[in-house]
Amino acid sequence: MLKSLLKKELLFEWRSLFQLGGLISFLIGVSYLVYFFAGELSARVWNLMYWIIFLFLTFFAASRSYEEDNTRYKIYTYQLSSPIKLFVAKASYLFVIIFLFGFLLVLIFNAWIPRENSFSLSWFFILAIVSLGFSLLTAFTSFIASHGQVKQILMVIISLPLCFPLVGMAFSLSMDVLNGESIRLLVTKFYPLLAIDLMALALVTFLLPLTWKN
Amino acid sequence: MSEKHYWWKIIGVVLMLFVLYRGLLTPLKHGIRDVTPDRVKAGTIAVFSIHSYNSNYLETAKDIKVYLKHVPEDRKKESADYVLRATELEVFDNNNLKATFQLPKHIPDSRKVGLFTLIVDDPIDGAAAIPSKIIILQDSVDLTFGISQWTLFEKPHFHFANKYLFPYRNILVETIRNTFFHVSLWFAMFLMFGMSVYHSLRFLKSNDQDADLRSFALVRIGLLFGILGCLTGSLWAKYTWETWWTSDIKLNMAALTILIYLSYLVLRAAIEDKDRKARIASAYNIFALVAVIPLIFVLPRLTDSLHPGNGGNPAIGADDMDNSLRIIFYPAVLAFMIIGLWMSSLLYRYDSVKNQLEEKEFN
Repeated sequence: MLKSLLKKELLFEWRSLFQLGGLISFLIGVSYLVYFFAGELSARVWNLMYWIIFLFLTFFAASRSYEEDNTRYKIYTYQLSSPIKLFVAKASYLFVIIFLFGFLLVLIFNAWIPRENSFSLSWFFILAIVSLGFSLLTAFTSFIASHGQVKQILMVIISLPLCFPLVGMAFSLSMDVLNGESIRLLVTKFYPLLAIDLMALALVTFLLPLTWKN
Repeated sequence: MSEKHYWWKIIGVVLMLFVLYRGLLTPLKHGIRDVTPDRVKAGTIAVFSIHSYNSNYLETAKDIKVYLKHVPEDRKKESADYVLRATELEVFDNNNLKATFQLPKHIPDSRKVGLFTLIVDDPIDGAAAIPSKIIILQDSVDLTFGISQWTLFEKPHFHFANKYLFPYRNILVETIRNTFFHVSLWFAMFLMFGMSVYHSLRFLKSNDQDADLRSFALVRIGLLFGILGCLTGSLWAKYTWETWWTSDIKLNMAALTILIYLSYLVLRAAIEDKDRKARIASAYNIFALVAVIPLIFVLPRLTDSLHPGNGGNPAIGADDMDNSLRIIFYPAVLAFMIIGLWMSSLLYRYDSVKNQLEEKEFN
C-alpha cells in the first residue's frame, strides 16, 4: 500500500515536473545571490544562510504536499487507504525531496562559496536528522493549512515557530561541525534533536486520525 | 445562580487583594548597598564607608556593631566562624556609616587573599550583610596566628528584625516584589494552556463544540498572561540587567511561545467552516503545547542563560526565596490561576451566547 502511495506521489511530481524545476532554480538563484553580494562569508553567516535557504525550500516543497488533493479526491483516497498511510507516504516523499535539496544546496554553496568541513559526512548526518524532523513537521502543518484559505501564508505562519527549535539546534550543531569538531564528541547534542523528531512522530500519529475526517 | 458557584471566585479576589496589599506595601529589610574600599591589606587600619538601604542608623547609633566575617575557602563546608569587630563607628545619617577596623597582620586563610563578608548588626532592624564583598590581601600566610587574632572572646550575637519584612537583595532591591507577578503569570499561563489542551482532547473525542470554545477561551487568556509575563519580565530586566530585552535563550523561547499561540489565533481565523475550524485548531493546540514544553523547560537549561533557573542558576532556590516571600508567592500563583480561569469562563460564555444568537438568526 505504502509503495503504491509513494508511486502516486512520484507520478504527481512527474506530471508537474516544472514545480520541482522551479524549486531547484530558486535554490540555485538564491545561492548565486548570496555568492554575488555577500563576498567573504564568516562561518556563522555561511551557516545561517544555508539553514535559512533550506528552511524556505522546505516550506515551498511542503506546502505543495496537500495542494493537489481537492475534497472529492480526498474522500476517495481516504476510502482506499488510511490517512496515516497517506501521511507517511507524503512525509517520506518529502523527506527524500528536502534531503536532496539540502545536499544540492551544500554542493552549490561549496562550489561558489567554499567552506571547510561543510562537505562532510557529519554534515549529511545532521541534514538527515533535520530533514526527518522537518518532513514530519511541515507535512503536518501543510495538512493543517490545507484546510484554511490562504494556504501558503498560513503554512509559513504556523510552521515557522514550530520549526524554530529544530533549526536552532541544527544551527548550533552544524556550527560545531564547521569549527572542525568531530561528530563523535557531539553525540549527546543529537539526543534533543532526535527527541524532537520522535515527539513530532508520536504527536502526528496520535492527532492525524482525529483530524482528517470532516 | 447560587453561592455555590462563585465561592472560588471570591477566594481568587481575596487572594489577589492580599497579594497586592502585602506584596506591594511590605517594606524591605535594611541592607548594605555598597562598601568602599573593597580591597584592603592585612596589618593596616581599614576604614570602610558603608551605604545602606532602608536603615535607621541614627536611632540605634550606640548599639550598632559592625563585623567582618571570613568566608571559608570551600564555601560548602561549614567551618568555624572567624570574625573581627570594628573598633570605631561613625554614623552620618540613617543610611551612611563609617567603620574602622584594625586588621591583624594575618588572616585565617591558607591563601594570600581572603574573602570577607561585612555584617552590620542593628538591634531593631536586624543584621544586614554584604556577602563576599571585601578582599583582604596578606603578604605571607600564617594560619594559626590568623585564627587566633580573628577569634572573638565573645561570640557575636546577631539580631533578627521582629517585623514582617521582605529580604533585601543587592541589584534586585525593591523589584523583588515582581516575583509575585512575573513568575505567577507564567505559572498561570501554563495552567491555562494545559487546561485548553485538556478541552481540545475532549473535543477531539466527543466532537462537542462547547469544549472547543472553552479551549479557545483558555488559550486567549493564557496568551494574555504570557504577554503580561513578558512585559513584567522586560521591566525587571530593565532594572536588573539594564536592558529591556536581551538575546538570552529563555527570553527568546518565551517570545517563541507567544508566536506559536499567535499563529493558533491566525489559524482559527483562516478556517471558515466551524466544525473543521474546531477540529484543526484542537489538533494544532495539542501540538503547540507539546512543542512549547521543550522550548521553555529543556532548551534553556542546556545553554548558558542569565535568567534564573537556567544555565546553572537556581530558579527558586533557598537564596532567592525566603518564607516571607513564599507566604505571598504561593497565594499569588493561586490567585492568578483562579482569576485566569474566571476570565476564560467569561470569554467562553460570551462566545457561546454569541454562537446561540447567530444560530437563532440563521434559523
